[in-house]
Amino acid sequence: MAEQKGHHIIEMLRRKWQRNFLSGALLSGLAFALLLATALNIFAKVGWWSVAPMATLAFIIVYLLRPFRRISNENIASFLNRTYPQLEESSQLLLAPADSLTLLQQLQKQKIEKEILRITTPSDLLRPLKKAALTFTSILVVCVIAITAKAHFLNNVDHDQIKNTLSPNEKEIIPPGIKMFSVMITPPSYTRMQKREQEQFSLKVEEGSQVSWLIKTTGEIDSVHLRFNNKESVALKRTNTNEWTLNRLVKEAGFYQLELAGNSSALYTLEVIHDQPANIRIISPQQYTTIEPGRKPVSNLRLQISDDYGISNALIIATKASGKGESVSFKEQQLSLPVQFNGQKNIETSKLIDLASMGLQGGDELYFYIKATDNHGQESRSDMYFISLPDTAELLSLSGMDSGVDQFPEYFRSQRQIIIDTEKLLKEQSSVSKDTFNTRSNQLGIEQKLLRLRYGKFLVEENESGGEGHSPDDGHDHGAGEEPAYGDVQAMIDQYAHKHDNAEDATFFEPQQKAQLKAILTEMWNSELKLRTYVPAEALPYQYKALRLLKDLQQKSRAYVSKTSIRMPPLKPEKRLTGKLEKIDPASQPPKQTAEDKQLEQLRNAVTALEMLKQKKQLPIEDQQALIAAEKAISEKAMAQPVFFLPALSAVRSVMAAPASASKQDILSIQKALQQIIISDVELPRKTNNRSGSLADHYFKKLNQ
Amino acid sequence: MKQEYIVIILSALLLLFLIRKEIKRSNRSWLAMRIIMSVLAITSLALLFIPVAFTTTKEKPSSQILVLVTPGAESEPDSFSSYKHITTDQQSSSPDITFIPDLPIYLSKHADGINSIHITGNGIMPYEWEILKEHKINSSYTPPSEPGGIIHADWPRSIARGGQFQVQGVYNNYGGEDLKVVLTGLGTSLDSVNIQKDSSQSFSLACQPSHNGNTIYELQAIRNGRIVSVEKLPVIIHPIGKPRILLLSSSPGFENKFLGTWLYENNYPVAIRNTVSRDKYDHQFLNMKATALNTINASVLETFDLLIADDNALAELSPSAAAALRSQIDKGTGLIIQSDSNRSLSSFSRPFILRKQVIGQTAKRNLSWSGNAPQKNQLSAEDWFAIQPDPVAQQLVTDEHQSVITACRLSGKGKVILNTAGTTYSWVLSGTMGSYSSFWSLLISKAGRTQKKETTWRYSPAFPTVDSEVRLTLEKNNPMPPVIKTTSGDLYTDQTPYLPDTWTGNWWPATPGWQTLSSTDTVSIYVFEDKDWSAAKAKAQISSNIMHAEKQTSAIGTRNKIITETKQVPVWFFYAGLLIACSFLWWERRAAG
Repeated sequence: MAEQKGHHIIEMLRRKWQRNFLSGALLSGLAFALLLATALNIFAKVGWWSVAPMATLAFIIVYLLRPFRRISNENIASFLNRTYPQLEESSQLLLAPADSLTLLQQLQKQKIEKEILRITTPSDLLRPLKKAALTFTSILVVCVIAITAKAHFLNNVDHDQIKNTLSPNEKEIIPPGIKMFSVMITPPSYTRMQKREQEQFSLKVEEGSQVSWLIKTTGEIDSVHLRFNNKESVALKRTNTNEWTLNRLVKEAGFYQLELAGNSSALYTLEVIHDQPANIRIISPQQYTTIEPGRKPVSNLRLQISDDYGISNALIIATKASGKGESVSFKEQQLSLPVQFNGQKNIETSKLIDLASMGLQGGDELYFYIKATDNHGQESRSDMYFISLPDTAELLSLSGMDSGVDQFPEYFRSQRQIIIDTEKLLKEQSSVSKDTFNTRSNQLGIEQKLLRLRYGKFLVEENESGGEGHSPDDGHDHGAGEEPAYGDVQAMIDQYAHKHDNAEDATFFEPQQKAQLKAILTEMWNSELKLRTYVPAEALPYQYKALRLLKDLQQKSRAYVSKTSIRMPPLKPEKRLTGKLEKIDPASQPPKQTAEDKQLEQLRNAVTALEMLKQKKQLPIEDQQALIAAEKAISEKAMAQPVFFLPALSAVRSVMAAPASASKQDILSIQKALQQIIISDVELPRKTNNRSGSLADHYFKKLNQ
Repeated sequence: MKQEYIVIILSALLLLFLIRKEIKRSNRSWLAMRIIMSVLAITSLALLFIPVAFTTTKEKPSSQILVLVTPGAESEPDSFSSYKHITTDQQSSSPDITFIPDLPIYLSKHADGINSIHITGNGIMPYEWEILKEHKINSSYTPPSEPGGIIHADWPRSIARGGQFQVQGVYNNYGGEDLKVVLTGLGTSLDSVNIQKDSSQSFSLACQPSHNGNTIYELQAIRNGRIVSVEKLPVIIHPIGKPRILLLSSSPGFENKFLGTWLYENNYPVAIRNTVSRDKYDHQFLNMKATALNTINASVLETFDLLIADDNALAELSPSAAAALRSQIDKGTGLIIQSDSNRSLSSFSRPFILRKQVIGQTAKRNLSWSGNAPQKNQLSAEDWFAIQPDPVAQQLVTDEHQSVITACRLSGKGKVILNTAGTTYSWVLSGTMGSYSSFWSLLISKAGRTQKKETTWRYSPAFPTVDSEVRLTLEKNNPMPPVIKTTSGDLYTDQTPYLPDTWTGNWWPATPGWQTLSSTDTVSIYVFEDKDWSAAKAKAQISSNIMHAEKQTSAIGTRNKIITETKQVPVWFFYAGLLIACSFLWWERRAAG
């Protein structure tokens, strides 16, 4: 029936509206519940389960407050009237019963019915849902941001605890009778690391940290002990019925086991992370530097210091040594570094060391090293670095050169003369004209060149340019107009061949000497360059270096030992040079024996015994001793390196308890640990076996006859 | 027979009667012919009743070709599919392949009908080849492809502690991936090598054992982290025998000091005699009791196994001492001469010709000796000498320019080694004890007096297996045949001709593992199980079968069976004869009358 149809439609619209409203309300309720739960989680550490009661509370509130139930058909009708002009404000007619309507109304009703069938679902119906969805998504986004922010900022908060989960590889064997246990580790305060808690017995802690065990047992137990390194047994305190605690300061590594109700648990490792001292690295200068007299006496010190927990201080300790011979005097100073120390882990800094301001002159040396302290009070120091300023006076003097055989006497003086002349020139620089200065500088350059060529003769340097490279025409004699004699093969070859070295000349000096001569020539060449380009001040360092190398070369084969005053007994001329040796008895020493390392022998026997056990499944009595020695050795090693040796220690104990049923895995792990203890890579001399039989002896005897 | 006799007698009587009748006839024509025909008739009649047989020889090719399938057989050529397949291995038997329990018995029954046998798979045992040869059966062998795995491996079955244990072998890697072969022992991996995929590669792994006793090392083949196969290497490690050493020096030096200290710390008995002045000596006894060393004579030298002296000290020995030393070297004492000049001062170093090397740029040389890589052994010295290569002197240590630094000559039963590297103590100072100990172990082990073992044991095959024959060989100077006692009974030995000290016995081990055999001294032999070293055993069997097959084909040429047959003359022959005779007689009668 048509009127029923319109009624139905209105009814349907009403229901839709109610549904959307309900969903929207639920969503917003859920959104607010989520917001509240996140807030509780972040600030009050309540778990996520709080979402559920929050949500139910929100639904109830929403249900009671929002008046969506009160939407009636009339409201829908008026809504339709507003929304659709084609209904002509008469949709309520569809709701009235048919017999109460007038004729006009009935006519209108029929007209409206047709219209109402054509209307589409108004989009306004979805409005509450859209609004709720928007709220929900925005609140969800806010919660997610809040949670990630919480995770990020939590590291700075001191009193938070991180739960440590068991690494999937290790499964620890917990002794029976323990309901729950936890270990809390507090690293020392200077490390600035926060406390942590873990639910496993094997520990890896920093040195000096406080470890506290909390154990809850299932039943009544008299006492619980922890046995450290098989030696020390500490009792736990009972804080509650079935609850035991212990606090301990851990300084050294080892292993421990739990003892409760007479049962010992398995062995657990206790590893200690040591605080390493600070690591110092000096990037410049080099370990041995010499500053030539012409250069500025400064040195740029660059260094890097790093530590695992923090650096508290670093200093340069410098010693100045002046004077020579027996009258050397030392003066120590401490220089600070231009950086603020407040416990950072990495420092990179540089300092310019001015040697002149520290009072160093020619002939003095500066030794320095860096000392750094980390925040645990451990000191470390770097290598000793040397900076030396050569003494010009000593270089220029003739000491050590007029005794002994000189190979290059007047040449030395020439270099010395050039230096003296250059210095004189520099002193008079202000009082002579520029032209004269340049001419004199050029003169000195020429003299230096002549000197260089004179030296270069030893290395067959014939050209005038530079120290390296020679033109292709070098060994090649352009004998103009000279035809080689017919059949003179050597002369023909000489026309086309390169001769680098004249063989006779080259054997005067050893290769090292030749290399040093080459270095001297390079310095002379540099000095000549500077002199010829009218900058004699820069030529001075090269000249001094050349002189120093020359002196070195000459004095190389001599070793100087200073004479100390000794007193000898007076010589007896009648006994000298007779050659009678009867009264002289050489010293006799008593025979010496080294102790055989008994322990090592025992360990070797233990390895052999274990090998037999693998095959024969029985352990003779005399091998028990060897196994006991093996257990002792492995337990000592386990105290130092528990991670490697602890499984072997438990294996040894189980094998000794039941040798016949020892598993192959246990035996292998004990053998592996023993091998690590007794391994020795050196080969030893041994007696070889005689492979020949008695027939060979016969043959040998017959040969001799 | 009786029947035939009756027939013969009757036909003879009838024949006589007929002949008489013919002769008695008046008409004499055709008489001869008539008589012949009568004879023919009667004989045909008689032979109708008596079977006549004759023998002929014929060459008849044998019809049967067999295929013998042994374990390890792969797909065979199609021509084989038509032949009969037999096998002696229970597991290979199938509806197509008949199982025969024992090959010799089968052959003895069916040998005549068999023309040739094709053998596929790993092959048969040598005694089965002998039986094939006896029956003169053509045999051919198609080897399968090479087995995958370790096909050869060798290692010393007994070593002294302090020496290196080395195993060498060949691995066939037929899988598509790379493989790692690891030598493990006592729970640790000691050495490993990578084998490329689809290749056959030889490997050499080594380790240094530091314990005594019977040990089993293992060779594991690992592919992708999973263990593919494990093979056992049983070794007996003897405790080290320490030679007694005497050091003589004419002047104090670092070399002797460091050498003496090193030997002392490792518990070797050492006596040191330094010359302080003329006839004045400084004695030191380490790990041994003091003896009088002022004069060197035969009795003093007999207590030592090795003498290390420098050339000058040997030159300073009195002539009687030098003669005593020479006779002791001939009896087995060793001598190491340290030389530092290119002139030989004493008669002991005269056979070696020394020359001084030009130093050139390098005062540092890399020395190398067997078992040691040259990069690790750098030595610097002011002078370097080299020994002239000589066909009689063995080169022990050479440097990177192939000059010989240390060489060894035989002298009687003992050895004389000349060593020109005089600064080996610098290895101790720089901390490379490995080079130092390896160098001096080589020299001392080579030169020292050898120790004689009471009995030498040998066995073959290389992998003694349970329930397979093991031939044991003893070398022992014993007038009576030694008896070898095993856990499963006593073995009695045979003496080999021409070698009176060598005794052999056959042993069939019943249980796997270490077995102890004893006669006058005891030895342990490891017995493998059937599944151990399967690839190596298969390869050995294939090689032996190939060799036997080649020998066999050259020994037996083409062979056909010669068969003697008896045949019967067919009966119609005689019918025909009778018919012809009777027809003639009847025609003659008609023609005549």
